[in-house]
Amino acid sequence: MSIENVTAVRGPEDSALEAEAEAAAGGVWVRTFLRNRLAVVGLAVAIALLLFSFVGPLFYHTDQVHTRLSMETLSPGTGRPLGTDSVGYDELGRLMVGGQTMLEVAFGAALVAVVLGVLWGATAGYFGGLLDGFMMRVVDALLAIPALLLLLFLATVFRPSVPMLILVVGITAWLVPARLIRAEALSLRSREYVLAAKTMGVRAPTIILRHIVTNSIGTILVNATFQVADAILVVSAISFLGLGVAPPATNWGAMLSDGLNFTYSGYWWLTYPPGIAIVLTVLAFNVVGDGLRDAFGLDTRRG
Amino acid sequence: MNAGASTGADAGHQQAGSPGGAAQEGPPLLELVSVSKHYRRSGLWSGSGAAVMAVSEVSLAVPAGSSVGIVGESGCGKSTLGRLVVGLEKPTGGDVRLRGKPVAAMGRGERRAARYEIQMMFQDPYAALNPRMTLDRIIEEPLRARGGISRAERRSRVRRLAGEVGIPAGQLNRYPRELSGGQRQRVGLARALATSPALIVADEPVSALDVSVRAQILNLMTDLQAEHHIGYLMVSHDLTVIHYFTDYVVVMYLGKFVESGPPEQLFRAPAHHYTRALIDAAPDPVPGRAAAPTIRGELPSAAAPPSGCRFRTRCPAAQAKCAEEEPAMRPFGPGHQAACHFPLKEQKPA
Amino acid sequence: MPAAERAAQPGAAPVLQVTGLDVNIKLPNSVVRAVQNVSLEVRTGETLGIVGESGCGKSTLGSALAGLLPPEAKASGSIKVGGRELVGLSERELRAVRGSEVGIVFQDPMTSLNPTKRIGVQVGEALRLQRGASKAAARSAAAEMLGRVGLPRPFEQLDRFPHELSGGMRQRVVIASALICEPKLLIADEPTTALDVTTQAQILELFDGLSDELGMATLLVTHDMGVVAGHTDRVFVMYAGREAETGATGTIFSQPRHQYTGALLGSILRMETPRKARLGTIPGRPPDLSAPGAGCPFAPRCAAASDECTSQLPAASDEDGHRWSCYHPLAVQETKRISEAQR
Repeated sequence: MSIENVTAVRGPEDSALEAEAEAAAGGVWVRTFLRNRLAVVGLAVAIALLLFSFVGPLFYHTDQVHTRLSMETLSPGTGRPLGTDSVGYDELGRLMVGGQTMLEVAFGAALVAVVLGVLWGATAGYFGGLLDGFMMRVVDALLAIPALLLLLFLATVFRPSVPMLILVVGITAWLVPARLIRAEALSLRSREYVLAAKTMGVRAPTIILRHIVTNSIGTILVNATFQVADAILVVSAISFLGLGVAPPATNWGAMLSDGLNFTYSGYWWLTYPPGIAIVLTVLAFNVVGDGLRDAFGLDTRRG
Repeated sequence: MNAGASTGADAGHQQAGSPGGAAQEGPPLLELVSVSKHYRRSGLWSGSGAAVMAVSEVSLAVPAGSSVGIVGESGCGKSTLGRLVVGLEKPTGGDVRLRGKPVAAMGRGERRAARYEIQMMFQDPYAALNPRMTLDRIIEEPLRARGGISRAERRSRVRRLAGEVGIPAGQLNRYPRELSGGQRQRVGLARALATSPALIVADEPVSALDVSVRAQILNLMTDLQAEHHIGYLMVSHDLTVIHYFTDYVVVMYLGKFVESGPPEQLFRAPAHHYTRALIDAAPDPVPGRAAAPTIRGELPSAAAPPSGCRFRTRCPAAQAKCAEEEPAMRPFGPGHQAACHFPLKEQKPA
Repeated sequence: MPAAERAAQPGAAPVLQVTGLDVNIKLPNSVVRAVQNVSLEVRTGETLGIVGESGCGKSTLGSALAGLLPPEAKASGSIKVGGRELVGLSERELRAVRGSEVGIVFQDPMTSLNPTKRIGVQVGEALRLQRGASKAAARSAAAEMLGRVGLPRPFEQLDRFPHELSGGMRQRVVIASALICEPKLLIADEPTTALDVTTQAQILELFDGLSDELGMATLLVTHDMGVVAGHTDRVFVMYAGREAETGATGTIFSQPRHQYTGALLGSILRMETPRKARLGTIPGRPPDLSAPGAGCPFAPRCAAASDECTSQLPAASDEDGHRWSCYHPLAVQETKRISEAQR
């Protein structure tokens, strides 16, 4: 392949067009996002669920600590919109408490995954060469381990608690953002403002944070949203299998698991509500993530 | 005016000489001594693993306060040369010397200090500034990196620099996207000046700007030079800009210097055929005078350059000797040299 | 062949006739009036250069004439190619015109060609789609056209992919595919900006030759006055979406009348520009096209502006095909000074 004789010089018109694209990236992504009706609905649902879980109990007081076996598995009726579960807890109240745990773990895990993944990927992509090779082989190796098995193993070994769940889920989830941000770093590191920073003697960690990470915010935000959705599914799965937080704490996965014991008894209020809650939340975050991706124009590779 | 070799150059490499001027005491500000930059092609998909010789054994001396231009088309290595000077790349052969001392031989701290002496102004105003930083942060960045300057002091310096390049202080909290190409280039210049460098490498500083804006930036660069006594190493493909702005020009082709000298001489009466071709091909805003392509063909691959004189595959005057022997730089007047076996004019003493 | 020697055929109907063209681009919060009331014409064998700086609307104009405006842009007015009205045509009808009557060459040869298709296929594509030619016929026509545009060993190149060629060769391929149906009009938007100057010279020489050989009309959109000077018969100077001045190339360069044309010519850097001299500039920035004011758009930056300039758009003055819209056109002595400086 012969050397191009296409000049690397940009004509004035290209620059002007790039400027327009850049202006779009400025603050216009918010507007683009808001114009996407589905995404806005998703966001509303997500916020509603957050409020439901954290603010709900302030209005709807139930005792989620003491069991009341005399009240077990009552069907929905006055004062009990969703009935009670197998140990007498109010189901609606349970849903709220379960939601708190779910969302805490989901956001926490997403945070851990994104922070770890971004730092790892940005460093690998920025330095390139052997370091990049090594760091990415680590990622590849970890990806080869079936995540669910690892999670189950970790969940049995460690005492179940919210921080532990956050850590465990985060540790398996950071691999995807690592890859994504590495790709961004690879393309950003030859940008002229990065080269400028190098000539100024700015040190590598500062360059990575100030120039590479800040200009990958779009990708990071989108991925973080999907991380939340994924974390919810993962926690549900673990808890469904019996691991995870111990009673009286609970989450929707555990509630689902409990409720399944009674499918044939027809106690629908023990299975449908948590199931619907999981699906709704995951969908909401996925839809928001899609909307963000569109708003940032990330599907078509921006130069 | 002695414009010949300023270092004890051996015959093996191309010595571009140096711009003449006031007699310089001691070594020149910047010197390239037989500098080469080879890139190894990744052996995975190009089986041969051939090296691309972006820059091959070039030598150049840049005295303090002067403007030197490097002109050539894409693939000639001029941008690589700019990056070598500024420290973004390390030479694979030869050395880059600052005030006589090779940069590679410097300790870490000394090298950092050396870096601040040579700064760069980039080509694309739309990619040279971090879109997520405000202007004051952008200009401040080199000062922060240097350390040892208080925040208040940094702020006042940024204000002063912005004023010098014509950006009012009130605009300093804006983002690059709110500025035009010309304004961004000014910010780039202010940033390059922040560490009070002795030399600014300007890589195609006006090529991406509108014609009427180019003049503004060039005027500004000239003013700043007079004010701060800085030198420029201007890299460009545009002959008119180089002719206007620089005191000494080097023409590059496929990683080698083919001709060098003062612009008036070089462009009025070039010795090398490539220089002639560049001049002929440049569109001239005079009606009726169409750009005449005097050379044909395409640039050969830098991984496998032609033997002997690299330009011979496209040269109208090429002969057998050109394939066998690489021409050495010969004088064609004061400060004027060219590497050609069959040049366009008679040799003259330096 | 120097542009001055290429005369347009007198009396023939123009291949391209644009009357009162407006293009408005709808953005989320505003409407950009990218092209305002543009009228021009190009005859067979003639090359018209549309020149202006970034933001003047010349690319939008080029796109409008090529029928390639984005969905948020609306064109009104008249664009006639070979007597046929293009404004208001459906996409299908436009597609029939594009490729057969109008050939288009864009700036960046790297993105103009499909990297996954062989060159022979791409060049012959228009012939197959528009004229229903068979594969074999299209292939041989493609080879012939590639030879005509100066590609060495055209039959060998037919099966190569775009990435195997250099930028100059790719641009030739793009030109070949634009010309394969022997269109009446060729629209070239910055065709050589992305190329090296030596390659640019070759491509421009090619354009000159083809224009003569095929007897087609050419519209050359560029920001480079040097390209305009050497390779066009007539020039259309654009500013802020409007026509500033238009006329024969020689006249525009030697006797510019519009203040903007004069300022533009005066700010061009040439070999003859005295080294280190203070360069002439145009202060300020081009106006915001989403909010065009009354009066001449150049007035805020014009050295000769007066009250009437800012209150009302100047009417066009016409002198033997040389047209300009300026209340204070440059006098002949001034233009002499500019051309002296150019020499």
